[in-house]
Amino acid sequence: MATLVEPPNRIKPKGKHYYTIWQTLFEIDTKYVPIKPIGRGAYGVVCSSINRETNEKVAIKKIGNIFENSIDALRTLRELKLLRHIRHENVIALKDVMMPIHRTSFKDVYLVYELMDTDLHQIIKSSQPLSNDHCKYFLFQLLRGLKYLHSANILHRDLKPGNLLVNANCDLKICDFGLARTNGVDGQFMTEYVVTRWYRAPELLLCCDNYGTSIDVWSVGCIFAEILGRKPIFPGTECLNQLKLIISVLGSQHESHLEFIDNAKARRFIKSLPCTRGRHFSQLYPQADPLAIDLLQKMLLFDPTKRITVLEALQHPYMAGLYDPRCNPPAQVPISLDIDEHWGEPMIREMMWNEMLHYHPEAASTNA
Amino acid sequence: MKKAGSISSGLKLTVPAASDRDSFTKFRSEPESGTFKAGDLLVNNEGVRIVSENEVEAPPPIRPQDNQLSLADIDTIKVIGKGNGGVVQLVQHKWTNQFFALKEIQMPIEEPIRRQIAQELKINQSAQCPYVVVCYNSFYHNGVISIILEYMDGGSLEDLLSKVKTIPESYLSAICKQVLKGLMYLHYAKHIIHRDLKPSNLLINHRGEVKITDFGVSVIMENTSGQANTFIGTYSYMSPERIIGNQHGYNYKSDIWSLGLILLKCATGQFPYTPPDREGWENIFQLIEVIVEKPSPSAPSDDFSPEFCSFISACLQKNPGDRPSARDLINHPFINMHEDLNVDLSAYFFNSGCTLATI
Repeated sequence: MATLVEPPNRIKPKGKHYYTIWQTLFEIDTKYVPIKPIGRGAYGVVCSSINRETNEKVAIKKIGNIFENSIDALRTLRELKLLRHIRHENVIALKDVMMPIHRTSFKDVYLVYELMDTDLHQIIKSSQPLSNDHCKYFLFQLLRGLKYLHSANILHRDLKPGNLLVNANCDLKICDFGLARTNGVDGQFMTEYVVTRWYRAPELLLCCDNYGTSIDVWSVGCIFAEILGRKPIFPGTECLNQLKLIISVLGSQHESHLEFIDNAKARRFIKSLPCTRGRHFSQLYPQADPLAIDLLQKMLLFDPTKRITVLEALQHPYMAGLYDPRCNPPAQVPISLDIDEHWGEPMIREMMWNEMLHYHPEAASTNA
Repeated sequence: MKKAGSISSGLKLTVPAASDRDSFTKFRSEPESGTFKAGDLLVNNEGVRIVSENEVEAPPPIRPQDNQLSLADIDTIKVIGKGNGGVVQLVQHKWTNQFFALKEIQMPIEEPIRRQIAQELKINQSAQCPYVVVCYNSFYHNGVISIILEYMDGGSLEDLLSKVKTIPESYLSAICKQVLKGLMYLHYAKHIIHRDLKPSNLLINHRGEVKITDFGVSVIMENTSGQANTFIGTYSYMSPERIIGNQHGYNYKSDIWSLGLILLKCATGQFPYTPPDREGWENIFQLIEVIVEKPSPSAPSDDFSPEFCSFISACLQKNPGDRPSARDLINHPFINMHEDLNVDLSAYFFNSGCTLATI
C-alpha cells in the first residue's frame, strides 16, 4: 500500500524519505514509516504510520499545495495554533508537524496525530449494535471534551460524526479544528466559511450575528439523535430546507422563542413557514431511554438562550454515574487566536513556520 | 486483431505534430453538416478528435453505450472550470484521441447513496438527447466521484455573457428553443427536475449547440451534509414555491422559473433581482423575501418585443399552476418569431470571442 520510492530529482534531503500512498507522494521524516492509507478528506490524504523512535502508531495527514487556497491555508493555521495548546483526553492530540526543507517555498504540510481506529460516522452507519451504555458513554466523552474547549473560550463550530474519532475500546476524541474560533473576542469577525449543513444550529442558519457555545450544543444534539436513530435527524438539502426540517420536528415556534433572531427578514421567514405541531422525540426514538429523550429535547431547543449548556448537560440525570466535576478541570488559560483572514500567502507561510518551530526548536537556527 | 508476431519492426507510431493543434483554434463548422473536417481535425457528435490523414483505419469514436471508458485511458490536458463542488478538466482519450470533460467531486459518500447517484448518472447513458450534455461514465474511488462528460468547447452561457454582456432577442430565441427541448427531454422522457438551472449550467459549442448539464450533480450535492455553493448563489435562480414550500411542494415548473430568470439576465445583462442598496444582499433572507413577496420581474416593454415580454411573464408566474410547461412554451410566439431569419448561433458564438478548444 505504501511504497518507498526515490526522491524527486534524485536529491535526497537529510532526514527525509519518500513514499507513494494512493498516488500521492509523501515526503516525511525518516523516523516515521508509513503502514497504509486510512482516509482521504477534503484537504488531503491520511496514512497510518509508526514512529520508530517510540514504537507508537500515528496518523500522518498530508495537505498538499496548501497555499493554492487561502481558506484551506487559514484552516490549517487555525488548527495548528489551537491544537498546540489543547491537552485533553477527549480532544485529538497533534503530536508533531514536520519541518519542510525550504522555509520560503514549501507547498505541503504534514501533520502527525495520534492514531484512532475509526470515526463515529463509520460506526453509526455500520451494523454494529449500540447499547444505551454506548450512547451514554459516547455522549459523555463528547460533552467532557467540549466542556474543556468551551472553558478555553473555543467554539468548534463543525461538530459532526465524522469529526469524532473512536477507538475499539470506545474512547472518543474531537478532531478537525479548521473552523474553530475563540468566543466573544471583540473585533474578531470571521467570515462564515463552508460549515457542514446538517449539524448547523438555527441561529447560524438564520444569519444571527451573535452566537456562542450553544451552536456546538445543537450539533451535539444532532449527533446524539443520530446515534439513537442511526441516521441524520435533519438531513436538509440546502439551508432553507434545513430550517424547514428543524421546524417540522420541533414544531412551529412561539413568538417568545424567536426573539433571538436579530434579522427581521429571517424572523419573517420562520413565521411564514406552515404551522405544525412537530413530533416528539419519543416518537422518533421509541427504544431510547426516557432520560436520553429528555436530554435530547433540552439540547435541540430552537432558541439558543434556552438551550441546555454543556455543563448542565453533564449534570443531567442521564449522565449520572459518569460525570465527576472533580476530575474535569478547565483549561489553564483562555486561548486567543490572532488570525486575520485577510492575510496573504507570505504572512500565512511565516505563521505556519513559527508554529512548526514549537515542535522543532532545533530548526530555529537554520536559515532555510 | 493483429497477432503480435505480425508487427513489423519498422512500423512506428506517429504523434500528430503540434501545428495540427494550432489549427484547432481556427476551424468553423459548416452550418449544414454534422461533421466538419479541416486538415487532420475531425468533429462530430461523438466529440472532437485528431486523426492523421495517413491513418488507414482510425479507431472508431467511443459512444456512451460502449461503456468502454476508464480513467486509466485518459490523459489530462488542463483545468477548464471549477464549480458546484468539483473541478472540471479537459481530457483526451489515449486511443481514439477524443476529447472529454472530466468532472471530479471530492466527497465521501455511503454505499447506498453512491449507488443511487451512479444510477442517476447512468440514466443519461441509456438514451441521448442533442440538448443535454452526454455523460459517458462515472466512477467512485477513494472518496472522489469522477464523471466523464461530453466536451463543450464554447464554455457556458455565463462565459458568453461575460464577453457580450447582453444577447439580442433573435439569438436568445434560438438558444431558448434548444434549452426548452432539453427540458422537455428531462421532464417528459426522464422525469427529472434539474433543480439547478443557471447560466453556468448551459453549455455551448462551436456548432451553435446549447446543452443542459449538471442535473445529476444536484442529487449528489443534496445527499451530503456539506455546502459547496455560495450562499446567495444557491437561491438566486430558485423558484418561489421551492423556497417557501416543503420538500414536495415543487415540480418541473420550478425549472421554468429558472429559465425565465436566465433569459432576463441574458437580455438585460443583469440578474433580475437587485439588492436594495449597493452593498449587496445583506443575507439570503433579504433575497428570498424579494423573490417570494415582491412582484415577479419583467422585461421592459420599451426595450423588448411584446413576444419576449410575454414569454418572460409566462415563465415568471409566481404560482406554478399558472406557469406553462416546457411543452407549452415550445409553441410560444417568441420561440418561432425569428425562425425565418435563419439565426446562425455558430457564427454568433464564434464572433463573440467565446473560447473555442485551445490546447
